Amino acid sequence: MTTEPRRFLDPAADTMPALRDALEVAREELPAPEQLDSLAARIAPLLGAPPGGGGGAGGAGGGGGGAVTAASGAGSGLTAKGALGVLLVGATLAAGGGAAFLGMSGRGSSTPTPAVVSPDAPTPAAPLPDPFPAEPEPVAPVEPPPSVPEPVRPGGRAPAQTAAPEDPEAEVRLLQQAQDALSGSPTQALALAREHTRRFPRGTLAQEREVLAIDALVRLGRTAEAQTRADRFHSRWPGSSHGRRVDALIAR
Amino acid sequence: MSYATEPQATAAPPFAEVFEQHAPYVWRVLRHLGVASSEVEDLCQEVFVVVHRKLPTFEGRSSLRTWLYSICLRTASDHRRRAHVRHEKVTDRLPERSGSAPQQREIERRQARALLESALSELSIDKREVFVLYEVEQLPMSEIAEAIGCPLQTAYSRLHAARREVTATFEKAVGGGGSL
Repeated sequence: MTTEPRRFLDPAADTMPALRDALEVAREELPAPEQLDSLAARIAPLLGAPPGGGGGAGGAGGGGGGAVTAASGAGSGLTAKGALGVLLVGATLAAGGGAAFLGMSGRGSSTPTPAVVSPDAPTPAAPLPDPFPAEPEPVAPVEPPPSVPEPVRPGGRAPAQTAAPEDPEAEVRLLQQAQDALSGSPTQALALAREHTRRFPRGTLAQEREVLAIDALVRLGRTAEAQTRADRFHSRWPGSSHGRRVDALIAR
Repeated sequence: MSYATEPQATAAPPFAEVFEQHAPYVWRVLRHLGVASSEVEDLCQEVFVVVHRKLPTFEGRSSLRTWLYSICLRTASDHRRRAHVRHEKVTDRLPERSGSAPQQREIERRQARALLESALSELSIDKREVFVLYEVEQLPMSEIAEAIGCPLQTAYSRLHAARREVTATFEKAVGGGGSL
């Protein structure tokens, strides 16, 4: 039986300092939040499609052009609640976004999520499942996706879905959903934060979204990513009123 | 022949959870396997399309992480093959990380990282795969052999050879009066 050699990064290993440095840096090379957001947007149709048959579009080495039966909607199956006081650490909101934020009251719609079926895919017999089936909510989905999702094409860029910039209530609702999910399912909260990035690239609540995403990452134990995101937060918004909250989250 | 498999009774998690938990590491391993930064997002997408398609068939005979890395290895391999046909360059220099102060220590770390990239690019892909999975991703050798689909002893042989070559590159750089 061969025993594993001591890894170069093992503190007890007699590794050249430069090599140790190099490996440490290599392990820190995780994608930026924006890159993950972009990737999440590209596979968004898969998040709403049942795994397995029908969901495969090409694949490794195939480059095939199969299409995906898709239902977008990180918001599906989620609930919007009216109370906003708890959202995002009670921080000062940006003037425009804050006004809109405080003005909404958790109204929702139950418009069904449209499904896209590729020309060569079998006709679906039933509505597509919720992307987060393990955590059902009793209330109907509050918000339809802003547009019909594109089929996934490996190697191809899916156009980002963006909501109309004049729809601040939708932005508030989405972050409210993320906040509601935070304690019970940080993973879901993170997905919703990504959805916010994708739909509201110039949203007025970007700082609040980042605080929430950092909180979710900390809860998931993904501290390196949380730290990276916190660093970017401070770099992007030096002097933000959320800065201390971000530091507190990282210090947990 | 000693294939390292350790049957487990792990049920397949939901696809969204797999993506959330593992996407950063899929991204990282693809980069370290030599996928260019401009193409890594495309390759990640390919990986997760395959994951989505095959997840129902995941039986937990290996760990999910091993299973994912095996898909990464195949996807990167196919990508290299396509790139070869197109006569394209599949690697590039890793980008500088933004937001870091240009302090001497950080510069040294970046230089060391660049040297590692150079050393990895000199390895055969078989050795590079094992080295990256063991020294960067910190997988056990049994899982590496499983992900690659080779006998455990073969994986060990590749690892030892890769470590020798990488170490030699660093010794040469330091001994040659480099700034490391």
